[in-house]
Formats: sequence, C-alpha cells, structure tokens
Amino acid sequence: MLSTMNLSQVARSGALLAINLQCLMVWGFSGIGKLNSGVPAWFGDKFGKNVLRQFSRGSDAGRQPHSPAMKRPAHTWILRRLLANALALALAGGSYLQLCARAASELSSDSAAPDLLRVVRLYADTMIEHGRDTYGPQQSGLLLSALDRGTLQLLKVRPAPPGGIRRGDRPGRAWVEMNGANPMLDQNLLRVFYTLSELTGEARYARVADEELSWFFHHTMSPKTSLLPWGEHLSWDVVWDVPISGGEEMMHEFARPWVLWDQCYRLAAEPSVRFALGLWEHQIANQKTGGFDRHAPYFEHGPVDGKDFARHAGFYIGTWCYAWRHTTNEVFLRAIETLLARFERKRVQRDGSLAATIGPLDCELAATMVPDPLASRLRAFAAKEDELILARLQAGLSGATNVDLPPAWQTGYSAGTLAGEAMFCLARYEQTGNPAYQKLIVAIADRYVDATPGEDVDVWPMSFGHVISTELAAQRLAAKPEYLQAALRFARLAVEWFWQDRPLPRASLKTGHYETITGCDSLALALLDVHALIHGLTNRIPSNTIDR
Amino acid sequence: MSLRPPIAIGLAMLCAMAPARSAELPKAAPVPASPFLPVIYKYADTLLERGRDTFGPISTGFFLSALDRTTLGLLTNRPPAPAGVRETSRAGAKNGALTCANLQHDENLLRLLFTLSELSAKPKYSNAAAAALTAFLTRTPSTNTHLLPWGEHLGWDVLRDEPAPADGARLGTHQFFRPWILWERCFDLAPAASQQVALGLREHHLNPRTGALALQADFAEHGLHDELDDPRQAGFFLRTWAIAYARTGDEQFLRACDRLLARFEKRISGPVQGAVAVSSLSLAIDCAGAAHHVPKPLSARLRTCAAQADELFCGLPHSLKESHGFIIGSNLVVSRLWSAEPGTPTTAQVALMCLSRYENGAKLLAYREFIHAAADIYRNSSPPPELDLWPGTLGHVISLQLAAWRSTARAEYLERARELGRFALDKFFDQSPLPRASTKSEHYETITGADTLALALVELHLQVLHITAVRCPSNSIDR
Repeated sequence: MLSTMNLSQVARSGALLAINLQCLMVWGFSGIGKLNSGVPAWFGDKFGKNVLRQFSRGSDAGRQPHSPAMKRPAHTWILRRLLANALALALAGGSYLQLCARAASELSSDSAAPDLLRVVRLYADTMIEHGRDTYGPQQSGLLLSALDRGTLQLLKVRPAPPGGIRRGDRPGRAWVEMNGANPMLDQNLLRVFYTLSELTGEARYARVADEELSWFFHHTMSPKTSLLPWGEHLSWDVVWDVPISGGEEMMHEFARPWVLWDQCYRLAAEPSVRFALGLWEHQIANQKTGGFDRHAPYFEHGPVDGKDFARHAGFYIGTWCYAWRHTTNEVFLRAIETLLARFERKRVQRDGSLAATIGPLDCELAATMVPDPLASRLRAFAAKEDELILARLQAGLSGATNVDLPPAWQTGYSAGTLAGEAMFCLARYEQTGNPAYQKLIVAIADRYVDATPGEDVDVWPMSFGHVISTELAAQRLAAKPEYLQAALRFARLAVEWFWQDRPLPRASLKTGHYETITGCDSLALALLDVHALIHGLTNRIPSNTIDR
Repeated sequence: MSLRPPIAIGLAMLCAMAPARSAELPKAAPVPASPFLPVIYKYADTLLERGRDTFGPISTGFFLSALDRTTLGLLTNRPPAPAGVRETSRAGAKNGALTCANLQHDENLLRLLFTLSELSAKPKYSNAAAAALTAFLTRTPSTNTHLLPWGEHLGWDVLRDEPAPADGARLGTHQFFRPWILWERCFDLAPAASQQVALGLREHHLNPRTGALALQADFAEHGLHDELDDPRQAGFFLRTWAIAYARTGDEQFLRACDRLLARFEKRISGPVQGAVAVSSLSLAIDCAGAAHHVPKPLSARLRTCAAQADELFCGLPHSLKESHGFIIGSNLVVSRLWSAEPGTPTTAQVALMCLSRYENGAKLLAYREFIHAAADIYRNSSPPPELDLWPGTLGHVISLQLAAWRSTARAEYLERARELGRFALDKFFDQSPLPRASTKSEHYETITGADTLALALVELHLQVLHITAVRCPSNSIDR
C-alpha cells in the first residue's frame, strides 16, 4: 500500500530497529555489571539455544566471557547500540529537519511573494512523508486529518479546538488523542493531490489520493449499513484501525458534498454502489415520503425521520446520480425522485410563501446524468431555488436590513462567511452562466478587496481560501487588476499566518496544530489557483466550491 | 542476580511504545472535570443580587468595585490596600470608604457578564452589564468636558451619586486605567453619549496647539496635565476615536487619529528603553485594532506603526530563559513573575500582549517563542507563599498557559492551567462567592483583577471541555 514511501528508508529503519530490539531483548535495561555477567541460564529455554549464534562468526561462536556468541566484549556492543540509536534518531529526525529547513526557506516572511506551488507541494510532500497511516496492524496509507505541526507526528492529545469547531465533529475519539482519518474532511486535499500531479507531472501525488480512496472504500464500510466512517462525526482511527466517532454516537452524516465519485467508481466501483444503496436503505427512514434525519447509525440499521436538513438531500441526490450513471439501477432514480418530491412540498411554507431548500447545485448536477422527465424536474426545481436564493443575496448585498449577511471572516458550525456565499454563486455561475450570480461574485469580491480579519477573530484557513477564490473569480469575470492584487495579498498573508515557518498549515489563527476540519485543504486549493492564474497555466484547477 | 526484571521492563516499555494492536477500543475516556464555571456563576449571581448600586438617591445599577466579602454589602471602611495598589487609584474618595463604582476596573467583569449570557442563554447577565453601561454613559459624564468618572483616579460614589476623586484632586483627574474595549457596545447602547465622550477625549486630552497627548486631564473643567505622549495611553485614544469614526462618520475623529498618530510615527523607531518598548507594544495592539475601523491611508499607517512597535519590542535582548522576564525598563530591568503593581507589568502580562499581537497577524514569530518561553517559566514557578498575590496576576498566568496549550498542543500547559485554576478557587474564592482582592486581603476590590481571573477561569472551563460555541473574550486588556 505504501508504494510511495521511500523503500530504502523503510529498510534502513527496519534494520536498525531489529538490531535495537535484539540488544534490548538480550541485555534489557541493565547495568555494566550485568552485561559482563553474560547470558542468563534461562535465555536458551526462552529464545532457543542457537538464537544468538546467528550473530557469531566462525570459530568465535559461543565464546565467553562477554557473551556466548559474540566475539566482541560487551562495551563494544554498548557502543554499537548507542551508535545505532543515534543513527535511528538521526534518520527519523533527518526528514523532519529537512522539511523544516525547506519550510524556513520557502516560507520566509521576507519573501514578498512566496512561490505558492512550492508551498502547496511542501504541504503535500510533508503529508506523504509524515502524514499517512503507518500505524497499527493495518497501515492503510490514509492521510491523517490532524497532526502535531511541531513534531509532524500523531497528536498525543486532543488539541484545543479552533473557534467554532464542535467537540463531536473532530477526527478522533472524545477526550483522548486525536488520530482519525476522515477523507471527507480531506476532500480538497485529495483534489489538491490530483491537481499537483497534473501541474508537476509527478504521478505520486495522484497515487496517494487513489490509494486513500481505494483503501477507504474497500476496508472501512459498515458491513450492515454500507455507510462509511467519514463526514461530520466519524473517522477511521489509524492506530486502533476501527471506525470511531468524535462524539458519543456512531452517526453517519455528510460534512460536505462528495465530488470525487468519478475517482471512486474508477477505483472501487462495487463499494461505491454499495454505499449509494446504503444511503438509500439506511439513511432514509421513510422511502415513501423521503423522511430522513441527517444522522443515521453507522453500525446498524436505524434511521429516523427527524431533522432532514435540506442541504443533505442535495448531497444524497449528488451521490445517487453517479450510482445511477454507473449502474442504471432504477432504485437510484426512485431515491432521487422521492427526495425531490419531498422538498418540492417542503418548499411551500405554512403561509404559502416559498423558501429555498436543497439549493440548485446538486439538482442541476443530477439533471446532467438522469433521464427525463426527472432531469427536467430537477432543472425546474433548481431554477426556482435560484430565484429564492438570488433574491435574498441581492437584498443583503444592497443593504436591506431584513436580510442578515454572513460575517466576513468568522466561521463556525453551520455558519460560513460572505466569501462562502460567493463560492456558492461561483458554483452556480459555472453551471448556468447566470449573470446575476456573476454580479454577486464581483460585489462580494469588492467588499474584501481592502479587508483584513477583525480583531481577535480565530480565522480559519478555509475563510482565507474562499476569499482568495472569490477575488480570483472576480478577476476572471471582471478582469480588474485590483482583484488579482487582492488575491495575491491574501495568499501571501495566508502563507505567513497559517504556514508560518512550518511545512503544514495550522488549523486557525489561535491554534497551532494541523487539522483539516477548518479547511486548510480549501486554502491550498485556492493557492494553486492563484499560482495557475499568475503563471498563465491552462491546467484546470478544481473549483473551490464544495465547502457548503 | 537475574536479568529477568530488566528484560521484562524492557519488553514492557517496548509494548508501551508500540501502537496498540487491537480492534477493541479502550473504554471511552471520562469527561474531564471542570469545577470552575459554577464558582463564576455564583460570583456573577452574587454581584447581580448584592453588588449593584441600590444606594443613595439614584439606583444606577452600577457594579460596586469593592465589597465586603462577609456581608456581601457595601464596605463601610477603607480596608488596607493590597500590596502594590496605590491609594490614589482605589474605588473611593481620598481617605474615604470604598463606596465607588469604576467601570474601567470592572471592564472584564462586564465582558464576563456578556459571555455568561451566551453560555447560559440567560439574558440577566448581559442585561445587567448593558444597563450599567447605558446608565454610566448617560448619567455620569462631566457636563463641561463630557469625560467619564472612571479610570485611574476617578470613580462614581454610589452613596452620594457623584464623581469621587480617588486622588483628592478638586476637579478630578481623568486618566485611562486600561484600554476600553467595549466602545462598540457603548455605541450600540448609547450612541449619542458615546460620541460625546469620544469628542470630550479629543477636546480635553489633546493639546490643540501642539497635538501632544495629556496623560491626565481635569474631569470637571478643561485642563491638561502631563503632556507626556505616552504610547500606551495614545493607543487607548486611537482605538476610541477610530471606533467613534466608524460609528458616526464624523471626520473630526479621523483628524484626531491622524494628528496623534503622526507624533508617534516619528518616535517609534530607533533604539529605545524597555519601558517605551512595552508601552509601544500596547500601542501596537491598539493601532492594529483601530486600523479595522478607519479607511486608507490611515489604516495602513496604523498598521505600519504597529509593525514598527513590534520590531522595537522584539528587537530588545529579552532572554526569558535566563532572566525569567521581559525587558520592561531602563538598564535591562526585567518583569517580575508574580509580584504585580501598577505600571509594572508581570511577565505574564507582557506575554499576553505578545499573544494579542501574535494572534492578530503580527509578522514576527518571535512573539510565539516569547509566549512559549513565558509559559514554560510559569509551568515551573509558583507564587511565593509570603507574596500578597493579586487575582489578576493568576488570571494572566492561566490565560498564558492556555495560549501555549492552543499553540503547541502540549497537554502540560493545559494541566498547569487547571492546577492554577484550582489554586485560584482555593485561595481567592474561599469562604465567599466574591473573590479576595489579594491573598492577604479579606475584602473584594476589582482593582487587582478579580474580573480578569474570572474571565481566565471561564476561558479555562471552555478549553477543558472543548466548548467553542461561545468564544471567550481575549484576556489581554490589562496593559
């Protein structure tokens, strides 16, 4: 699985570890007197009479007094052991120090404009080298969703949460060290990896992403519900090799839409279909009305008809449309139709007015895959959603006092920023070319051109990523130099504030560890987009529009 | 002698070092204990019930800045001052009983109350704070200067319902005690009165001819004292006027900022002494804060000034590991760890200023190292038993440990904060819901930072239980 790891490094480390273990088993933590007294009588019974002879050479074998099988005296062995230890430490620390040195040179705050591709590559390289699951019995190669930025190792604690992050949403068990991998939280990082392979021509980045998706879909699915340990509350504990929850219950819930279905069907088609079916059978409580709760038990069947947050219906529709395309199993059409009908009804309020529900994005996407008449119905639904959403956003941006616009920088659970709204507008504009969305993107970009985060706000990297992507979108749509300048300014600030002098970005301005839940992957994606724009690259950088 | 024990120990250690290899998860860890919040609620509830002005002809609802911890009532005397506290700064008229309310002494208490309402969803705390602020802004300003009876040497006597000069000055002496971070709330609650106060500060603290800033001004009539151009005090004014501009659009405030800033832009470069550097660090915090509220080019100038102050402070040869303090005075005088007094910040206080700059985008990573180094010092240091410790000092150290915990993800900092939190409950909140003014005091008096300690304990509670729905205000205003 870890084909991308440096094999010679693994071999060297393994050999050194073996030597150390042998020494430790023979000599324990003993003093010089004990070492000189030779091997105890019970040793042969326990480990076999010939075990130490493997280390002997020729006629020296079995020679006393220092050891039965070693021709050198004990102090030579102690010396060698110390050297071996030092070498092992050097090997372990070497790559860490190398990365830190790279970080220091590439992230120097003296640099007026850091090389953004190098910053993102440094992040990716560090994750490949230090941030994959090499722990526990199953070394899955999954990318850790949180790490200690100081040591580039597993966290030994559950670190202080970034502002607005709920306890039960983090990638690790409650109150103990946080060692989870949650591909849904890392989704934009996986997209960054695929993009890096395109930009650099190095296949290893895409291979890591492929390995993650393949392993995750093949090994972590619940045998009873076919749901995956990812999303808002679940993750895969890389040390214990079991699915875990950040809270008290093992509840499956999407954290954001999953846009990597094409890759999943390429790498793990059968598990992908099983998941899509599991979503219909074990997340949807009432298959007639479409009633569901965004939470569904992972281990056992047990969905309830409760809080059917509309955006989650969009995520399910966005899952089933791919399943339909790959299987043409009618059940997926029925699933889409059922939820669509539910929200066609729920859109109408008690007083007869209409309110936006699912949003247009997933419906429009599904419409490109499913046949008519469902496709037309999805498109019509999306168009109505547009009307409702546009009215609210336009009123808010024109200063209407009865519409609350989101804050500029502060993010929290279920509370995005204004730039996040711009990302929604961008996604919809990319689908439809509706000029109303174009105007909104530019209007929001204008608000950020001279902005900086407010005092004492614990800003997330995601917020910066969205602001940068907003400015870039405005630059592409309105072609004014101030947007690109603003994007560059924010990119430079983001590198300075989040990466600082380390190879990994921190989770927020008030924390120091690495944790993708706050969207450092989205920020990295935005930085790649800046790089592509200023270098005139024609590579397609994925849209930074999935944090919704 | 058998080798079995060493080998067994070795193998055991190996097992311990190796990752666990079982699909069976260990039992769920228990929810960590946090005894802090109930104590703080009790403190706040007691103040709401017993610690507000219901005395004299007018019941203002102001929070008393000193109380009897036993009777929970008004002090009828003037208890001995905690060590380091100047008599001319206490919450009472000169030589009189401590019967005053001083909102600047209670600033963190007001912030605490707003936070408790968010935490508890009970509006009574924020309502009480808002009522006190509104009444203070509308009822107490000088009719001549529009300055408020608060700060370093003034209070509001709740028995006589009039300003009380703590220093005995006939006209009263207006001087900021610490920065006022609640201007935005003030403008929400009483916009016209807040604007008047901001204008009063401009008219009665700035020398109109030279543009120099007076550290002190007469409260009752126009009169400037000590035109010292102190960077720390200048920051408090810049913050005030920047917010006033943002809320009113009145260009007078922009011009006042411009004029005051210009005096410091020239002075804030080049070699300086420690005291100026610390004062400039405080200025940097306020410049950066003010920059959010004013347009370019003033915002850019404020940020540049902050960056210069950063360079100045970080450029001093602080060696925390050796000296256990920051350079805060001439001849490389360093800050003390536990012994507090006005005008002489402790190491933790300076570190919290560094924290404010670090968390608000200062370029210099030196701040991060200062925070960690200072936290390390306090991890291995306890207040000497003979010291008359202030609650605010302990609050600063707790917040510093929490800052290092957030920054490093090293559990020892959180554990130290919890230890100190328990120590605080033991030493300050014993025998009464109101904290002591100091470990050797029997009464309650906020000048020594009981409010700051309470805020730190709420922050600790939120960190221990990983609560983020409510954000604790930054504990960095004691500067």
